[in-house]
Amino acid sequence: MKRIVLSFFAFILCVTPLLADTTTQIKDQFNSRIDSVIKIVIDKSVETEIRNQNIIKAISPMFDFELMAKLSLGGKAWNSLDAHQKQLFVDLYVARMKKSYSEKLDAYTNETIIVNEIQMPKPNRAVIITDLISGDEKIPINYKMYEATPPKEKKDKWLIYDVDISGVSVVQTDRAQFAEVLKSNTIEYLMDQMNTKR
Amino acid sequence: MLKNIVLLLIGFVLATNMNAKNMYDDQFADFDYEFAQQEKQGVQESDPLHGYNRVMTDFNDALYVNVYRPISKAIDAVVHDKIQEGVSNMYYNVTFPIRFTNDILQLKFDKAIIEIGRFVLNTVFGIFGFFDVAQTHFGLYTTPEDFGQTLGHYGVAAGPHIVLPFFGPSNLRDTVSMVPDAYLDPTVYNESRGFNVVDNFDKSIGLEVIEQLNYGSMNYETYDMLRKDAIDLYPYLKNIYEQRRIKMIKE
Repeated sequence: MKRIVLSFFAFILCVTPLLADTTTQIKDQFNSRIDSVIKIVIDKSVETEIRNQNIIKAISPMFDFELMAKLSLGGKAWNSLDAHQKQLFVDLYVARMKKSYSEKLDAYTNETIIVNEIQMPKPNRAVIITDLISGDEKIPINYKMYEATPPKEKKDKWLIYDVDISGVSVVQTDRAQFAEVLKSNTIEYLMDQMNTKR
Repeated sequence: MLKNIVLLLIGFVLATNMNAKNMYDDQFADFDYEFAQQEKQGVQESDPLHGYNRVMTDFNDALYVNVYRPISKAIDAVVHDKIQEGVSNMYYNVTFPIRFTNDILQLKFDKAIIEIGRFVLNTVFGIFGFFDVAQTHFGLYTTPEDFGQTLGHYGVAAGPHIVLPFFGPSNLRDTVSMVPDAYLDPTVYNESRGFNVVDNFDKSIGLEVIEQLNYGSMNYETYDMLRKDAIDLYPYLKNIYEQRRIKMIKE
């Protein structure tokens, strides 16, 4: 019995550092991704079009765009779509996100990203609290992540499902405007708008 | 004994695995619930001024595209960035009474002390606030407070969303709060008060216009980006405003 108790404690001792390591792991994964993106961004010798494509390729493994698309539409509206509409909506959303992201990067000059801390509200959720430093200005940006179990193909283990910029959630603003559009219009109209705004 | 424990352990592992599987299937519902909860505590569903707000959003946007943006862009092209920043710093410095008073009203004394320190340093060493030496040399900064945040801090709800002409998104609480804040604002001329930057009301309107144009010259690209990302501008800006205010009240 004593042995069992002892081995139980040994087990706990082994597991605890593993848990503490999760935040370091997330931080390392995030920093290395950001570093590789910045390397592409500052290399002005590459044509803008190709550069943007490379950036998207570099950041794609960090994001669960599909989940973001679903969340933006909200459970009720999402479940009412047929399989074809679901696929179409996700494609439009992803295209829109990618375009918006690369446009913002075009305005990038010499900002730096500082990771302040990593919070874990639940064992399978993490929030990376960062500041985007641009001259004297500091813009707080939080990346909300979850642990994908099992991991998705060609994706990181921890995936971003929402981004808070100065306290404004990207997914929540989309939920608000999509819900408003759907109040008086069909999903076809919404997708049409997303397509033309591309 | 050992066998029992092993069995128990296996049972436990199986149970957690099943749990994990269930969680995976329900993951979307789980996330969806998370956002629905956030919505409940934040932006209000009812929108009685909906019709007016939409019209005013379009009005403001047209004004922005046709008047405000071209002027802001022209100023940005002519005036050096350092001067734009200096003007913005001076304005921020002189509106110190708003932030200080609201810090005190919210009993945030640590923030009030930082505001005093900033005001003294920037007024004396920063040439009437043109340079924000408090931040650049002493790392002294704290997030601004206004009366709308003070009311929010004590639990006053935002009330219906109101889009104001020229000023843009607001709500009932924050609109009403503009009155006490204006009373504390030395750039808004007020005879009954001891401190005034200018000596009549017309000049204070002129000052406000200069500040707004200067602000525009520094920030028009931000609004450009917001406009582009919007599918439906009114609910988009409304949601951004309300989320932002919730965060500012918490700070």
